[in-house]
Amino acid sequence: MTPLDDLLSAAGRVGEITPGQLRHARASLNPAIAMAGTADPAGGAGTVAARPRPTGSGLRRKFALGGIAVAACAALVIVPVLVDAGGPGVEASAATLLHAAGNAAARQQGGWPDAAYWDVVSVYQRDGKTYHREIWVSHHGQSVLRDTGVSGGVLPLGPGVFPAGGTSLTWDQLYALPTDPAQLSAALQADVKGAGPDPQSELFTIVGDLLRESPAPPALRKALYDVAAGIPGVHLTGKVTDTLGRTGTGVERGGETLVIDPADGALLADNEGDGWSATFVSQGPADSAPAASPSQSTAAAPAAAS
Amino acid sequence: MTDHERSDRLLLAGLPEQPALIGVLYERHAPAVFRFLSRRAGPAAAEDLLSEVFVAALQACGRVVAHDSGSALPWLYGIAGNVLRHHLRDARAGVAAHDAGMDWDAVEARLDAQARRGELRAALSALSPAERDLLLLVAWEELTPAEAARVVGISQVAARSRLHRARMRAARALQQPAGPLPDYPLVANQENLT
Repeated sequence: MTPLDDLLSAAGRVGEITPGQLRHARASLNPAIAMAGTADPAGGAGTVAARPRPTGSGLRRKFALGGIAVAACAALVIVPVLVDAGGPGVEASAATLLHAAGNAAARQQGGWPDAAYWDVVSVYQRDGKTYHREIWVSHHGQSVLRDTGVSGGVLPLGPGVFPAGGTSLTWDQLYALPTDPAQLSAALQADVKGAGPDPQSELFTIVGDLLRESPAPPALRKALYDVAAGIPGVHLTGKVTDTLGRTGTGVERGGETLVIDPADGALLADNEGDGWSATFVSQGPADSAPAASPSQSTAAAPAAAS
Repeated sequence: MTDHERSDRLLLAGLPEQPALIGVLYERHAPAVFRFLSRRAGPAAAEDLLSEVFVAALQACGRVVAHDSGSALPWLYGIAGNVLRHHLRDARAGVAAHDAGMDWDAVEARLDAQARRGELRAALSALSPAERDLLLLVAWEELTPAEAARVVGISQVAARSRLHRARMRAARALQQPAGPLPDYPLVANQENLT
C-alpha cells in the first residue's frame, strides 16, 4: 500500500450506522413512498437526478476522451492535445534538445547532498484558477507547504520522498541513483507495472517528477534528460513562452509537456494538457523553513486571479 | 422470487410502478450510503441526510437504469453527492466552490496527527472536484473505476485515465509516489454488491 492509499484509508474510516438510526431514517421514508404511490411516476418533481451517461465513441482516443470528460464536469481551459498517431520513434530534434539540456544542467554546481531543505516556488493553474505554491522539502525532518490552493496556512508534511518506479526514495537514496542513463532508466522503471497509460509514458512522468520538486544533483539531471531523450514518442512542440515571460522549448509525450530552457537545463513549466499546469519560479537549497501553522488554514480558497 | 432476492437491476426497473421497492433498496444499501455521507460530512450530517437521499432517489427513479455491474450503489452515490452539495451550500454559504461536497472539518477530525491532516488537505486540494470524487469513490466506497465513472458522468476509459492522473497529482502534492493503479476490472461483472 502506497503512502497515499494509507492516508486515504485512514481518512475514510467511519463508524457504521446504528440500528436506531437505520430505523429512524427508514420511518421518514414512508410519507414519500405513500406520495409516490399516488403520483404520476413520469411527472416526478425531483431536481436531483443521476447524470446522463455519455455515449463515448469507442473510436476516440484515450486522451481525447479525457478532455471531453473534463469539459463535461468543470469549466476548464481546454488545451489542444496532440495524440501521437505515428510510429513510436524518438524524434531526432527532441533527442538533441534533451541531450543539450542535460549537458547544460551538468555544468551547474555540484549538488546538495547535505542541504536541510529544498525550497521550490511555483505558480500553478487548475480549473482556470491560479495558485501560488512554495514547498520546503525536508531532508530529514518535517517538510512544510504554503499553497494557496490548499489552505491559508503553512501545512506540515512528512520528510521528502521522491518517486522512482513503483517505490519512493529518500533524499539520500535519490543521491545514490545511477547517473548512467541505461541504469537509471532501468531503476526508474522497476515495478511501474500498471502505472500510467503505458510504461514509457510513466517513465516520462517520473522524469518530470524528479526534475520538478526534487534536489536532484546536476549529474542526475543530466542523466534524466538523457533518459527522456530515449523514450519513444517524445517530440518537440516548439518555442514556448511561460507565464513569467521566459522562453523555453516544449517537449511533449502523451499529453504532458515539459517546458525546458536548453541553455541551462532548467525545467520552466509543466503542462499536463488537462487543465493543470505549473510554472517553476525558483528552486534551490535552504537552511531553514517556516514553522508550520496549519491553524490558519480555513477552507481552501483560490488566490487572487492573476 | 421475493423482493429481497431481486437484483438491484430489477428493483430499479420496478421502482416507478412500485415505490415501496425503495424500502428494499434502503435495507440493502442504507449502511453504505450512510458511510458515504459520514466520510464527507460527518456522522451527524449523515444521519440527517440519509432519508433525504432515498426520497430524492424515489423522485428520480423514472430516469435511471442500473449500472452495467447491476448495482444501484453508483446511482445512489450520485444522488447522495448532490444532496450533500445542496446541504453544504446551505450550511456554509461562501465556501470555495471546489470544496463543494466535502466538509473538511469532519474529514480531518478523523485523523489524529496534525501532519496527516496537512497531507490529506494537500493531496485532495491538488485535484479538481471531478478527480477528487473519482478518487474517493474508488478509495473509500470501493467502487470499480467503471462504476465511479457512472457517478461522475464520464466514460469508463476516461475514468481509468483520470483516476491515474488523480493519484499521480495527489501523490505529487505530498512528494510521494502514486504507485501503480490497482488492477481493477475495466468492466465490473458482479450482478450486484450484496
